[in-house]
Amino acid sequence: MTLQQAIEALGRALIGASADIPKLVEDQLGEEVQILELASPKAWQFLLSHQLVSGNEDDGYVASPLLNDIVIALLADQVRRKTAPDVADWLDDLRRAAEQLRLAERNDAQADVVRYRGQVRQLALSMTAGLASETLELRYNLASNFGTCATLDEKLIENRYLVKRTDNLVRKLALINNPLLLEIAGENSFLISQLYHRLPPKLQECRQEMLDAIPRLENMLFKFQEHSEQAKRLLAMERYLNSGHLLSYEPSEEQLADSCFNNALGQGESSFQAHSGVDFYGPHQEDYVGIVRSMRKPRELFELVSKIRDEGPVMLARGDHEEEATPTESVYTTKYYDFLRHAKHIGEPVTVLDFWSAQAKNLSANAFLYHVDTELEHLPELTVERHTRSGGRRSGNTTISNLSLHIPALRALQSGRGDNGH
Amino acid sequence: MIEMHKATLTALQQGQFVCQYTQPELHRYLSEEANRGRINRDFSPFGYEVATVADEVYYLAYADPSEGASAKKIRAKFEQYRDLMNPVVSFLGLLQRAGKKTEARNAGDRFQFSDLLEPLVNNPAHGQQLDKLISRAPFKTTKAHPAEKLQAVLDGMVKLGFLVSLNKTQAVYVFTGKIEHFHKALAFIFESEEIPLGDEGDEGAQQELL
Repeated sequence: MTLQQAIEALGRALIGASADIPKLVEDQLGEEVQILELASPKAWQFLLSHQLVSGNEDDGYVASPLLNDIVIALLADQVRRKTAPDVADWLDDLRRAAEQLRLAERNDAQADVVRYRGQVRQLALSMTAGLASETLELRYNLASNFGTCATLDEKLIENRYLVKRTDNLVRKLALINNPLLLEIAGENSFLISQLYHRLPPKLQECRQEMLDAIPRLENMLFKFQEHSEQAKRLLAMERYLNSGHLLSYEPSEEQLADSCFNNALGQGESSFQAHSGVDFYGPHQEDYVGIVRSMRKPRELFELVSKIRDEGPVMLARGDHEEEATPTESVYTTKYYDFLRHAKHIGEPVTVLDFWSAQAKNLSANAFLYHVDTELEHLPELTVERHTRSGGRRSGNTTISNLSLHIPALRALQSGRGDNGH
Repeated sequence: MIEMHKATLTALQQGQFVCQYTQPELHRYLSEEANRGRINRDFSPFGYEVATVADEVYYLAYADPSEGASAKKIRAKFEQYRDLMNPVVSFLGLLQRAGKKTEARNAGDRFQFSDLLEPLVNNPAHGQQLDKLISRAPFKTTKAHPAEKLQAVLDGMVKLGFLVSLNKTQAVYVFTGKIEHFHKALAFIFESEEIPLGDEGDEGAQQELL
């Protein structure tokens, strides 16, 4: 395809919004073809008619802002698929273009001025778009754990490369500093605007993102290496066991103390709460922690609290009972403890129905009353008064209508036990 | 905030391994250093503290593991893991081969029941390994159909806390953070027993032959 045909095709592609545009422009740029070298009047007319160039046959043609924008946009698309240019080469090209622009301006060669301004713009764009492309790739790989790589080995290779590449780039980008750009720009207002005002913020932004990404990439690399080791160990262990070996090594206590086997409780095991007698859940948490921390244990209170924990259906404390507890039972159990705490906190008689009315109104008060009644039968030392439907006390199978509980205030109990010196 | 704190205390004191795949909110809460500090402060009077494997999973550990009673329980935990080594490693190896993967499974990795069942049914070597797996605890079952056998194995892994079922209808399983704890335990035992790492290339070739 000749240049003229290419430009004609470009025109047709633009009109038809064809997907061939990037390819055509790439072909032209790849051959270092200059649009202004076109000689066919028919082609110029075509470009003129579509406002892609301006001028005339006598004075010459220049690229219109529209064509510049199109070329830059297409170039950006092309660059986006590539990496940032080598910094040293880029600086050389930039210096050369700046010098040529200055020369063209001195000679008042408008066509050259337009061409070299375009070159400076393209160079700035190739760097910023290249860096943007690289930071985008970094972001994607960090977010997706190198999702484009099919295997762990590929991830390791790609990650290692990216750490090295990013580290190099960050160090090289440090060379493009403001004094250097100002020196290249000189007193040329166009170059100052392009190189000193517009370029550094973008460079700095990309460089900072890369700097931030390096430790994350290294961390990810460490993880990939660890995963690779895990895979090797897993297969080796399987091979070892399949060949009839037994695991017989008995580590010392020191070795075990530093190991991951220091795992206080396994799933489904009895929790320590049942035998520690400590309640983490109530509003008096600080009181309980305070008891353990600062004073000798008031034995009777401790035993009382322990009994509450031990003898009830301790849904939270006993892993092996977890599966038996239905959600509703769980709510009643939780509310039962809340009720005990509430009674303790108030320090005066509290009725179940009064307590319940301020709680879960969507569940049956009678069921809760029955639950509390059953639970409190295990705690005869607590002061419980049961009311029947007729207003009297319960006896035999009489249905109760309410129940009041009186637990002396916690601190009063504590001070009482403290007096005994226990 | 208080509710989250309570829920976290509850989960940890029940011996649960908290990870983002089982309890994402609690895991998020524990990922904050300040919150871990508060949890540790509450457990401190009772001699416990929060431990983690690479922030993937949090669990409760003894603050003073050298103390007599704690040391005894830690040794029991070690023995428990050592007994688990053979069945769990066999399952993970089978999963790796059946899925034609070269890497080990980690927290967050997922697979579908049907994707795993197909190679087990179609490849006699995989089928034999499945039979071997269900002949021992914790996967022991007398079921005869491959799907039932596989289900028994997966149920065992779920019960051990290494897997959770994400989608009941499509039977999607995801590895929990506890698998990272298992890998750590495996590394410890591997080094203690001085097991040769060997050439994984040979292993791959052998599996190809199988």
